[in-house]
Amino acid sequence: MDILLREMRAALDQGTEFQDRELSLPVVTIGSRQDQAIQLLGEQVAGSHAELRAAGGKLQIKATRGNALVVDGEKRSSVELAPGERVLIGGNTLEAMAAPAGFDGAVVLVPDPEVDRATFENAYQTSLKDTWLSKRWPAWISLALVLVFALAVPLYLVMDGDDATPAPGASLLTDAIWTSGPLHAVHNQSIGDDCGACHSELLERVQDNACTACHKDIEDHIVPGHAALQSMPTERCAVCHKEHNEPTLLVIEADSLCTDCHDDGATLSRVSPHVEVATGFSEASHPRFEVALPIAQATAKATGLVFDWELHERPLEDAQEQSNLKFPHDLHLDVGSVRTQSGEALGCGDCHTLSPDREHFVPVSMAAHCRDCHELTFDAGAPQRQLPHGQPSEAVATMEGHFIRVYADPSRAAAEPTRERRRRPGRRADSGNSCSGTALQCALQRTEAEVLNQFTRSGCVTCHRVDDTGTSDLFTRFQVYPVRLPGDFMPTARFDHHSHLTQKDKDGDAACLTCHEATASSASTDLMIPDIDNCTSCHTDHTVADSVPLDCVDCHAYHPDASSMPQLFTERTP
Amino acid sequence: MFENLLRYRGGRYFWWSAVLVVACIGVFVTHGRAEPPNGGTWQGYTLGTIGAVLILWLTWLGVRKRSYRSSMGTVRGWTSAHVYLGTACLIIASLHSALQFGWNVHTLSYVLMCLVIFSGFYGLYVYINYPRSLSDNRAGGSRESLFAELYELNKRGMTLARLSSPSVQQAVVSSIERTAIGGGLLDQLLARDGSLIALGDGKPQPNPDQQITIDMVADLIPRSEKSQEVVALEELLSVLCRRQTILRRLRKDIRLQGWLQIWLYVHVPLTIALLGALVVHIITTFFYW
Repeated sequence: MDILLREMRAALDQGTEFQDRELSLPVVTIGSRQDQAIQLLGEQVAGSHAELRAAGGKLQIKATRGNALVVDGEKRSSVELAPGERVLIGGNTLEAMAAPAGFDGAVVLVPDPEVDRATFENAYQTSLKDTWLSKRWPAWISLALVLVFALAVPLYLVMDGDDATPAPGASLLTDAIWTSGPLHAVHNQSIGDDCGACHSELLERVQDNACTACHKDIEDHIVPGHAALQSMPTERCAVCHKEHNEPTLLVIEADSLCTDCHDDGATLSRVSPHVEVATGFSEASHPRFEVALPIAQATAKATGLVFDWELHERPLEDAQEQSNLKFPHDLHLDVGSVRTQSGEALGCGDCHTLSPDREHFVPVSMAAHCRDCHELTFDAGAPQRQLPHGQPSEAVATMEGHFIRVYADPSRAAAEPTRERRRRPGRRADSGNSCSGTALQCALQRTEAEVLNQFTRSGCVTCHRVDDTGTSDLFTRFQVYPVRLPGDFMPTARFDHHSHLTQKDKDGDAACLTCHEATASSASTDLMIPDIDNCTSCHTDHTVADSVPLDCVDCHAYHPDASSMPQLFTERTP
Repeated sequence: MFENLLRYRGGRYFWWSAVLVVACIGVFVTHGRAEPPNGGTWQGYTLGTIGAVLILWLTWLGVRKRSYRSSMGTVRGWTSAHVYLGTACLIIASLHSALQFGWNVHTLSYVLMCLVIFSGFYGLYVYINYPRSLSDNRAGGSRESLFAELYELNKRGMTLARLSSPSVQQAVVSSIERTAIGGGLLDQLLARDGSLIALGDGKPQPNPDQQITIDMVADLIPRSEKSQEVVALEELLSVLCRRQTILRRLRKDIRLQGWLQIWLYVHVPLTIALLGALVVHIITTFFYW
């Protein structure tokens, strides 16, 4: 396509002159950019404004998108010019001209006379505002994206109530993107992205039933049935158990968990009168220690003494254990008095074995801990015969049966008792060795003497408290007080014995003796439970520097184990 | 003026912001051991409220600077406060979040805020450093005066060219007409010269820095036989060389202005997105609290 372009311009002298150019192009581009075939300057001329084609002696000019051609003051997007017709682009005039021979078309260009010093700059794109850059539409688009994908779509899915598990990766569009942090690993495994598992209602805080749906057996802070407390002292589980935190901290360890309520004496005295104010862990801020002791009043009934055991709280300083067992710790730990078979002194661990819970000890028993030394022999002539432990009537029967058999033996000489292997100084040898009656009479006489010996002098009575009822029936005459060793002196507190077995410069028995003064205890009524000052010599709350800090929850549980302490709390409820 | 932005009234807003940040750190450290610091404690809610109010106020600068009739402080004072309080906002929001991040709408707000603030830091840098380069480049004039001089040089060059041979005339006229200044985004930011020239065959070819035209005229001078023609060509050459200088200055001016403004095309749209994300952040916090 060949187009003749005639450019009109001011001549050097007055008037106008023109210059012709030949454009041999398939399409003639028109615009302000320097690469356009026809370059027009002017404020209203776009970089690429229009395209010109010649067809059938006419010129077709088509504006590019967003630009306009002006014909007779009217904006058009395309025009067809016959010779003599004109179109305005910006201030520039293009007029079709009859095409000379050899040309497909001809056009006369009259440049915009307004492009002068003042408006010259506007012919160029010299500012970012002139480019495609914009602040407005990216702002609206990004705002819309945020509102739609972060709020509207997840909200729609929540309101829609579709409980179906979303496809993997779809959580980008669900309410999972509203999470304020990761869940605890166990919750995450069981709940995952199902926000509705706990957040059942929009704009409502998580309710307790969301927790108790799974945690069915959790105990209340105070044992259920406490008359003065109709509900949990705290408003909701989530007040203390906060999810979505980093690091995950589902259980508040700080003292404020307890002291927010337990520093208020007025409320405490109303709700739980026996609970004293606690604001920390020091002798001043923590109540004095108390111990829970099984105590029984013995009441005489027709069948003998009846023991009704009850757990009682006692202040530590004047508490006495009522185990009904005679056991001097000092004697047993004195290597001059008691030795093991290998000749060494007894140690704490010979009787006290730590339970797997690291707090309590395996109960001490006659069979496991005493019998190696304390044999239950009753006839020096028959050291292999031993009394059954814990069954006084059976013991009497055993002795009676033994002596009848011995005295019924034709070779009676064998029945003559030998000297006691371990006769105490100043005590006569058994006087029952001379019997002149029948074998049965002698056997019963011998039996009675030995029963008296066992229950009143040197056998059972060595360790047990024995009541002589004075009845004539030998089988029921002596009643042994039942032994009750407390398994847990402080059921409302916990203590890790294991971690205290190694101390600075101390381990083994020395570590035990730091707290339990066993070498100075001569009676089993001694508690040997250390008081708070023993603890505070190493531990205090976080208010004191240079001590090993203890939080309330290091020793106390918010949700108590009801089985360990129901009696203590239920009986003293107002 | 731009350096005054930071030292406005003796750095008054620096001290305002410093006091605010110290106060916020004071609130943050009262987080006890009960809960790890996060946006959901009373300290977190307090810091979050301060941050949200700050963001709204900082955005208000965009309105204030267009409100020429406002008597509520000077725009320069507002901008100085904007810079310092915007920086403070970064610290306050970090305290509010306790730097707990994840793939969620809350972190989206934080990230958008950071992008806005860091683009603002770039803006502050160019506002402080570029005006000197701009004014050095303009040699005391303005962009308008550079264009005015170019207009006169163009006119003078065209006139002188018409006194020369047709080939010189075509080369000079087409190189003047097809001189590129500015242009698209990259042309402006990189000061690319897309100038063309149409020689004998009428086909435009690149004419970087107008060198083809200048070389052509310079070549003709020693070969000219008429002294009158030599005088005209020498004058034409001096016009073309002056044009080259002006064009270089104009492109540098456009480049510097581009970099001076480009950050606003990030800062402003992301601010609007941030406002949206902030609304979502606050609403969803209370949807599931």
